[in-house]
Parts: sequence; C-alpha cells; structure tokens
Amino acid sequence: MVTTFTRRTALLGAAGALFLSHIAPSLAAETQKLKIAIILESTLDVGWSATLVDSLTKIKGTLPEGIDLSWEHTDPLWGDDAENAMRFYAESGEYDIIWGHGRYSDQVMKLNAEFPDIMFVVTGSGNLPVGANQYWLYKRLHEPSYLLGMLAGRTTKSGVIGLVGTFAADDVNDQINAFFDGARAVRPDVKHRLSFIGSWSDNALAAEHANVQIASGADVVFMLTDNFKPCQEHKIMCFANINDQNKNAPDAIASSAIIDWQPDLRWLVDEWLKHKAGAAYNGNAEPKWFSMAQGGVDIAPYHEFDAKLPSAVKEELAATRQKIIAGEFVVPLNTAEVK
Amino acid sequence: MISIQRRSGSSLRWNVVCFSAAILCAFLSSAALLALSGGDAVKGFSALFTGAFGSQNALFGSLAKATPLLLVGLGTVIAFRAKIWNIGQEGQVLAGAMMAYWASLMVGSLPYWVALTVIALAGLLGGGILGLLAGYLKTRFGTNEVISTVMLNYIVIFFLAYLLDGGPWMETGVTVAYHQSPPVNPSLEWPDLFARGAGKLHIGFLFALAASAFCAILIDRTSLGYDIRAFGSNPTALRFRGTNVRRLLLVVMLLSGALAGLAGAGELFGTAHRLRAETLLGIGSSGIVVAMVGGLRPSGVMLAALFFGALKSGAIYMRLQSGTPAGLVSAMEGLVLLFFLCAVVATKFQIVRSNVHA
Repeated sequence: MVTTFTRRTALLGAAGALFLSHIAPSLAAETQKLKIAIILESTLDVGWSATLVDSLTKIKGTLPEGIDLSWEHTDPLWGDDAENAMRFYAESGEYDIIWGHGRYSDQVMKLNAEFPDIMFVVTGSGNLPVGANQYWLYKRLHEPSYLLGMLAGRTTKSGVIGLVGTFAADDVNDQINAFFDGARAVRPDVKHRLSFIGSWSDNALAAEHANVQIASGADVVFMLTDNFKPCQEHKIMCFANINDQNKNAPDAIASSAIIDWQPDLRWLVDEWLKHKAGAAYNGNAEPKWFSMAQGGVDIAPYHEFDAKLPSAVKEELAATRQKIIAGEFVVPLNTAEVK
Repeated sequence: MISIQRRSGSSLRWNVVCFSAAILCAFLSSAALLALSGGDAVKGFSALFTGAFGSQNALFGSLAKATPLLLVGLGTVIAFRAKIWNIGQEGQVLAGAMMAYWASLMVGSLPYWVALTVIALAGLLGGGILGLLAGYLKTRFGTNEVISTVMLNYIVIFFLAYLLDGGPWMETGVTVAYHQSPPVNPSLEWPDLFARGAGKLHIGFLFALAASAFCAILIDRTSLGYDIRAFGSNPTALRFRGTNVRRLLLVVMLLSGALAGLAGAGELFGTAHRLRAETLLGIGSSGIVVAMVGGLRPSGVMLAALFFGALKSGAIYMRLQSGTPAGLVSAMEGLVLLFFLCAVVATKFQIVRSNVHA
C-alpha cells in the first residue's frame, strides 16, 4: 500500500505534534527533583553519618511517585568553612535542602533569611532553635537503651554493669538513664559503673575506661564509642549505639541501639512538598524526634548472640518492645546527668 | 670530585629561578597527587583559583584566611630571626582567643571602640604571656624553648577543654552543648571592612597590615631589631657588647607570642564568634610554615600568607566543585614548604665539580 499524505493528514499531524509538545513538558514536570547537599561533621565510617546515607538510600525508592531524590555530601567541615560550603550550595540554586549533619545552627542563622526557599536541616544536640526555614532533627535512643538495659540486667553475673559515655549531653544522658532504668527494672540490686571520655571519637581513651570498668567488676558494658577490643579481650558482652556495629566485633556485640532517619526524611519531604505548594517553611523550634513506634529508633538483631542468649530473656525483650511500640509502656525520658 | 659550597653573594636572577622552580614543582607534584586520587587536575586547579580569586567575595575570603596566618607568621619571624625556636604558636593563638574572650565578658558596658581595643589588647596579652612564660623558663632554668613551647600548647588546650566542658565557659541552653562557649556578645564582634554582601573581611586584616609594617621597621630599622638579628648570628658577641641578652630573649618571646595571640582574638571576634578549639587549631602550625616560606622577612611573609590563605579559601570551592579529597590541600601545603626549603638551600649553596689530580 502506498501511503499518501494529504493536506488534511499533514495538518492533523502538525496539530498532534503541537499538542504533544505542549503535553510533554507537563508530563515531565510531574517528576520533581529533590536535591540535598549534606555537610558532614564526621567521616562516613562514623555511625551518625553512615546511618544518614543508609536511610537516604533506603528511602529513595519509597517516596511518593515522581520525587527524584538525590544527594551529595562533603568531607567533614566546621565553622566558617561549613558556612562557605553552605553558601556555595545555596548560591548554586540547585539544592532544595541544605543539611548540616550536626551542630550547624550558627552557620544556618547567617544564611537562612537570605535563602527563604531553601530548607536548612540541622541534627542532634548543641543546635539553637532558629525556626523559619531551619528544621531541627533529634535522636532519642532511650527506648532501645532501656531494652538493652533489661538485657544487661538479665545476663550480668557479677551484678555490675558499665557504660562508657562521650559527653554528658542531653541526647546522651537520656540513653544512660534509660539503660540503667531497664537493668534495675529486671534486677533492682544492679550496680553501675559510668564514665565520660570527653570526646566523640577518642577510641583509645574509651578502651582505657572500659578496661577500668571491667576490672572493677562490670561484665556487661554499653559502649557509646566505637571500640570493642576490651570486650573481646575480656570475653564479655557489650552493646553499641547509633548503628548496628556487630560486624566490628561479632563475638562481643550482642546488640546495638540503632537510629533510622527514614521517618525524619519522610516528614521533611512532606514539609518540602507543602512549601512547593505555596506554604512558607515553618521549621520546628523544639527538637523533633521520632520514637520506636514511629520507626526512628530500634534495637539491632542479636546475630551470633541469638544462640547464646536464653530464650526467656529474648521473649521478655520482644514483649517489652511490643508494649513500647503499642504505647502500653512508656520508657521514662530522663535527661538529667547521671552522677 | 663533587662538593657542596656556600655561594658567595646572592644573585637576584638565580633566586627568582629557584623560587619559580619551587612553585612549579609544588604544583606539578600536587597535580600528580590529584591525578592519582582520580581527580581532574585542570578542573581542580581552576576551581581552586576561582574559589580563591574568582570574585570580590572570593578575594576577601582569601584575605580573611590570610589574616591570622600573617600575624602568626610575623610573630614567628621575630623569634626565628633571633634563632629562638618558638614553636608554641598553636597554644599562643588559643591563649590570645581565651584572654580576649575573658575580656569580652567584662567590657560590654564600655563604648564600642574602647571595648574593641581592650579585646584586641587582651588577645595580644594572652599570647604574649604564654610566650613570656616559655622565655622565662629558658632564661631562669635554661629550659629548651622547643620543648617548653610545645608542652605549653597541651596545657592551654586542656585548660580550654576544662573551661568548655563543664567549666565556667560551657554553653548551657535548650540542649547541652559541649566544647564550645556561647556566642560572643554580638555587639562586640569585630566589624567588617565592607558592607554586607560585598564579602567578609574583618578589621583584623588592618591589624595584620599594621603588624607587618611594625615588624618590617622593627627588624630593619631599630636597635632592638639589630639586637634580634645579632642574637641570631652570634649571641656571644652580643653579650660581650653589653646587651642584656636575658631581657632581649624575654622581649622576643613576648612579641612573638603576642602576635599569635592577636591572630586568635581576630579569628574569634572577626570570624568564628564562638570559642571552640576546632576553629583555631592548625592556624599556629600553618603560620610557622608561612614564616618559613616567606624567608623570615615581613614582606615575604605577607606574600606567603596571601598564598596560603588563598589555598585554604579556594580549597573549599575545589572540594565542592571537583570532589578532591580533603587531605590534598594539606599535602599541597606540605609540598610547597618542602620545595621552598629546597629552593632556599639552592640559593645559598652550590654544587661544585672540581678536578683533583692525585
């Protein structure tokens, strides 16, 4: 068959092409790009930063249809270097969210009024309540710490448990109180050893403190720093926090109190969408945190310790976890410094 | 036979050749490092240049980064020209910032310019006292200043850690913060030289320029400067000439520490606005490098400070633009120092080949 183009088909074709060229951009516009620039406070091998990238990777495919999430991050930056990096990202006009993953509200305060359409995010304690377009994420690990405390109370033979802390900060004290509360809930006569190393990352110093605690009788230790050598050397059970660190010492780490940024990210994406729809940013002035029921925190699997722990203890923990999630049991939030 | 001999006299042309070669070698080896780490050297260096000088903002950013390096470098020149090895600049920078912060807590009610002067003087005093202490240990007990100044660094750092971690200067507020003071009183911040938006360059830059002029005159035109240079080349002769060497040593350490202290005060009140160790560490050691690269001459130190300030300022842009690793800029600083020291040797010595017949 020979196809002949009549004048009518040509006109129809032209109209069709015109129609398509109008419809195509609006179809394309339905994919919304969400670009995040992240200023890190530590390298990616530190849990606080690693968990963020994990959560971003996990959430990428689960966001409402049409949102194309991408991100990039810096090496660790502080002070005016961080401010310069934030300004660089803001002025490029390419980023919807500028995320200072730590104490960055000082820097945000110098920029946020100038860039009202950019969402600024800061995380953890040590930030100031700026509000407006600054969103302040917080992590409260008291619920999983309470469960780990119960596990410690049930498994200690000496009746002495230890905790090696970083600083007596607000979001560290909550974990410490809950850990000891959990232990005392199942074993009221438990004694504790507690020390702060005055650093976020001095692992050698953390080991010294752990050794002292172990020498003075502690046989279950909650390490808020990343060194589990003392636990391995003395063959005692330890816990980690922030992320599941089992692979660093499978023979010593029974479980970890872990954080997940996915609920935080979902909330921020909602806020961003509202802003896109015309609402002004309305950042929180009080720290915002997501509970265990909301998926913000949890305890890590037992891994190798699954076979070693008594099943009655595991069942008790699982039941308490369910009660916390169901709201039948509320772990007290106590941020007072433990002496 | 090949031997190394000291050059007689110096030739400007040969000096220019040596130092140009040093800069070239430093850049080539940095480019090689950049390429090895998987980066694009051309893109990296052009980003570095844009970040350092690409706009008025960038230029002022470089000058702001150069300011503390220049002050520390000048202080180092005064000490090193006398061959007094003050390497406690890290601690002296912190001490200056701490003393200035302390002063700021007490001068809030004074008129602005009076308060600013008091804060700057306190910065000078803080660094100066620390330098003087090392000087005293040397004159009184013969303690080697290399050891005492480095040890004093630790004492200052841990004293600051005490003050900020549970001590009187710790910030308390909505959530407990750690290892930082509350922000300095906003009405006591050092003023920017230009209107907002034109780029950030605080008044400390003018102090650094004034200090450069002061040092140049001091070293070349005053009898104290003559004594400093003479102490460096022959302290025994100076002693026999009747100079009070002990007093000279104390004065040198006081001046050297004071300039580093002013750098600390400037960083705190001009840039960081919050006392925190992380923002001040590294300035002292970079300042020593600046002094060495600048040939221990105030004019040379000005150029070197600008160069290293630009490197630091452009580095952020380079990291963000071309994704170069963070360590690269520190490596570049090290390479520049290394090649400059080689160039210094090359300007002073020559390899002589002589035919010796047995």
